[in-house]
Amino acid sequence: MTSCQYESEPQQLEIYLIDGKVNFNPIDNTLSDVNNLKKITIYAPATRCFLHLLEHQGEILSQRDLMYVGWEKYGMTVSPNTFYQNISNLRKALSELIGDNDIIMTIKRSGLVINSTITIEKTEQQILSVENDPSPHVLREETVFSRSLTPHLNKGSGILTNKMMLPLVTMITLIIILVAIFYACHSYVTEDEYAAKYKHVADAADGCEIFINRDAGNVLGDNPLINPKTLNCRGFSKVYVTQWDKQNRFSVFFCNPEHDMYCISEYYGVEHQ
Amino acid sequence: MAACAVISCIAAIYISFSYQEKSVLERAYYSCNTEFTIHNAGLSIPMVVTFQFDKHTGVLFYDNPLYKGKERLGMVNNKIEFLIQPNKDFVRLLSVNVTKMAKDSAPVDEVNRILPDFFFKKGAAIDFEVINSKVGLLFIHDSVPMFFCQRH
Repeated sequence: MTSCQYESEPQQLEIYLIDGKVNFNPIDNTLSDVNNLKKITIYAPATRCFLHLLEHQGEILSQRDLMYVGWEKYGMTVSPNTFYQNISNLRKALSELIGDNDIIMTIKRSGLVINSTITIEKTEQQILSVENDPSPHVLREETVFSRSLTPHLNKGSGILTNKMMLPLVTMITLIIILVAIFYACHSYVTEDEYAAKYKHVADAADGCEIFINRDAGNVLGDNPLINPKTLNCRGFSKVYVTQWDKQNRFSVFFCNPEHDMYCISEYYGVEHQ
Repeated sequence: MAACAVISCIAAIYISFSYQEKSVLERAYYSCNTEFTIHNAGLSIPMVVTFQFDKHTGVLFYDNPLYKGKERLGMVNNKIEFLIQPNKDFVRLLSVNVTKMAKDSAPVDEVNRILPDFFFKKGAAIDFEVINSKVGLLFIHDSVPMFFCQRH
């Protein structure tokens, strides 16, 4: 899903100064004002689209081109809504930094274009690799998720070289993951647990077993619709009745647990919410 | 390695909690059919309903006759688009769009007397506790099971 690789050669980091007001750093997916007082991180696909637009200033680029550059080139398929959401977020970030602007213009039914009246200056900074220099190095980003790993990987080799830690950390990780999965899987009432709320009260003359909710009280005999002598089982083997002493509403479920728990039901009394 | 382990643990715990918080209906696309008959005030309507749940939204269709005793009053034929709003112990379905389909012919007053508002009015909600099983979902309304929706 995520792949990170260190650059072995010194890299050129290109920062774009847009209209003398905003710095755009495509490596760390950030937009910042020139004084570096405010920095906004944008999604990697939005970065790729913006970079492509900047590189083709004045040229109208279609949604299709931009979706290819932003997502499809990296094996992702997204809807036009996702594309427009990313462009919208990009515009919002630019507005937050420099207020109302028309840097990215929409040309109806054609696509997007970077306003040709704005200035775009490219500045280059050299970044050295970790092998040559202990200073921060460039981590090539393949997906947006890899960014979160960067600070940890940069911090160096203390833990990595301690081979004794490896099995321990792996074991603890596995235990935590298993506990989390177990907890998630058992957080819901299952059908069997729910069925345990019913007790067997009678066998209908028609052949099915009748169950009623354990806290129902003695309501079975009072209800002619669920009288064991007259109840029509309709070919089902189990009938579950739910009724409460003080409610007019009740339901009767006719089920065949042996056939994939197929059930039909009768629901009596309606409350309008 | 340690960083990855920490991240994996946090991710597992987060996924566990988010999975737990999400209702069964919210986790993925889910489609099911149900048959249940509603009875009220001498009226009855045998409902055959198709539900489609897709994370936070859903749609249901039905095309069923409405009876008063043994007399058939007409058909109730609607498509309801709804939102799925999870709460701690129940899931609220809120109708956001109701489309009366071609066959709909039952008198509105009688429909109003028998069907919960959610099934024919826009902006109406109904709360369900939902029990998941391998083959479907049991919908319980106000402590009384209403229908079992069998997965396609």
